Amino acid sequence: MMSQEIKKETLIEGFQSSDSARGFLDAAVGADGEAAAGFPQEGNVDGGSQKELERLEAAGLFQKLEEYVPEVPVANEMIPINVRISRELESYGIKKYPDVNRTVGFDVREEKSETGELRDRLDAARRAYIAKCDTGQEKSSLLMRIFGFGADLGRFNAELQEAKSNYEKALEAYKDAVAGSSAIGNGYDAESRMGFLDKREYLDFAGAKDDARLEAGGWSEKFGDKAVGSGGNFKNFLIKYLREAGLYAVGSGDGVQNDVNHPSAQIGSDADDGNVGKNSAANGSEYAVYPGISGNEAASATTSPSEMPDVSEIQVAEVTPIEAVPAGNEFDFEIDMLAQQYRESAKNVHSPEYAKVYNDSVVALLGGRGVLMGEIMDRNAQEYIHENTQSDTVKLLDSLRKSLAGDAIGLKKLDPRADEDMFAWSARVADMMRKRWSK
Amino acid sequence: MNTQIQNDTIREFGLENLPADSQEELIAKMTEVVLKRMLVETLEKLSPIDQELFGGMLENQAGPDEIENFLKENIHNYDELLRKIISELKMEVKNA
Repeated sequence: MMSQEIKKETLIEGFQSSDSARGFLDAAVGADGEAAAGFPQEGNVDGGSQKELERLEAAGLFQKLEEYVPEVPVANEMIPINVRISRELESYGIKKYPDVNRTVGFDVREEKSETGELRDRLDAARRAYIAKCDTGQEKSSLLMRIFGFGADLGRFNAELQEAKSNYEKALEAYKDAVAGSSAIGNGYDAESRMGFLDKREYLDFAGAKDDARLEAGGWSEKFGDKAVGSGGNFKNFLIKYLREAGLYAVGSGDGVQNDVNHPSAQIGSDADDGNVGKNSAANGSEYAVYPGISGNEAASATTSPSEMPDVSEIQVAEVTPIEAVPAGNEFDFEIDMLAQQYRESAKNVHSPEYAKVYNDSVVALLGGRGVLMGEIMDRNAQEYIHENTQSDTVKLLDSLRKSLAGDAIGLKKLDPRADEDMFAWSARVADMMRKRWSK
Repeated sequence: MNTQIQNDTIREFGLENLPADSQEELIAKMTEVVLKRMLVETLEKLSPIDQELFGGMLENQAGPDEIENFLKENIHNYDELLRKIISELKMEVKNA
């Protein structure tokens, strides 16, 4: 039995050798097939069998690898270290690799030492926040809607706000640390660095939400790997869409060609490595239903203003309840609550509360990202037209036009009388209001 | 070397001032999210029976064309759905 400790140098040497992945595993497990200290003492790695790899992963092998990765010098490498490692592992038949989601693309080592802890906290806070939102979805069940929310809602609201606050604080702390650090993006302007962090955080959050949806549907294990893992034919058929959008196999300065089978096309992708539903943001959390929100339906429901009559000229001939869009309970609970607040205020459009609630909603929802604003507006529009008559809707619209400089936002060009256009109309109202308020 | 459309995407996201590996990281992350979203939206639109069939196709390593045909037969405007997922996410990231 091997008794030596795993030496950092040995691991690094393993990776830098021509047979680096094998070298690494040998270092961890032992060329004679017996595990080194800190790893399981049974079995061996025979050709990188998946079973053994899973056992090693469970034993913390990859976590240990991750600890050592930052020590690998990368200054003169054209290819990022996470790319190289992933290639090495994949060439060895290993689909799993260290958490490349945590790399920054500049110098992993420096981020790890200077801001890594804050980023860990951010990951945890994000997980907690999303999990709390999911819990909210459960609480927004039909019975809760019918009989009211009661004390339970109040308690939940407090917990939700705390989770959100923790997340926002963690995000702010991390960004502040990065802003004051020379570790990430040194040499690049602050705006670029913050822009990078904002977009990365957005994607982390979006990915975690979709992970939760997969988990909630019970699909992660069944479909994730086979569908979008390496070689998954669902993914393969989607490649043309990704390429068309300029997303797939973006070569970097390392000269990687646009080859869909090239490992670089798969770096950083939990989906690719078969970890769909299990990325860093989702691990360790229990996710309830977190159904998808279409997001920018409002933005897509556009109609040329020239096609619309002037709403000020509309004479409402009849009052017809509109059943076009069921309210449903398939929306995120928090968004639902905020939309409800907004809708109540919107009924009194001249109230100062109108602007305040809307803005608070936007600010509260993760820094006012457009998609969430759109979600609020979509929900508002859907529920409003579900619960109100056309006459009321027209009155509201007209009132909004007068109170919100309607000429500027083009509300008067809409025709809410056309039943078939009601959803498009409401979505359009939402979109216009979102744009108006975002200015 | 990036294709023109890839360069356009990078510019569209305002990433042109970032180092190449950071551009790559963000694009890779976005690809990941797009794929996940496409998968979950696909599954949500399939009936339980069709989900089973879809799972069986994946299990049996059905070809990309076969999978595509199956999904397009069973999900209304599937092609449009996929393009919408991409365009919406691109817009979201652009505004993030």
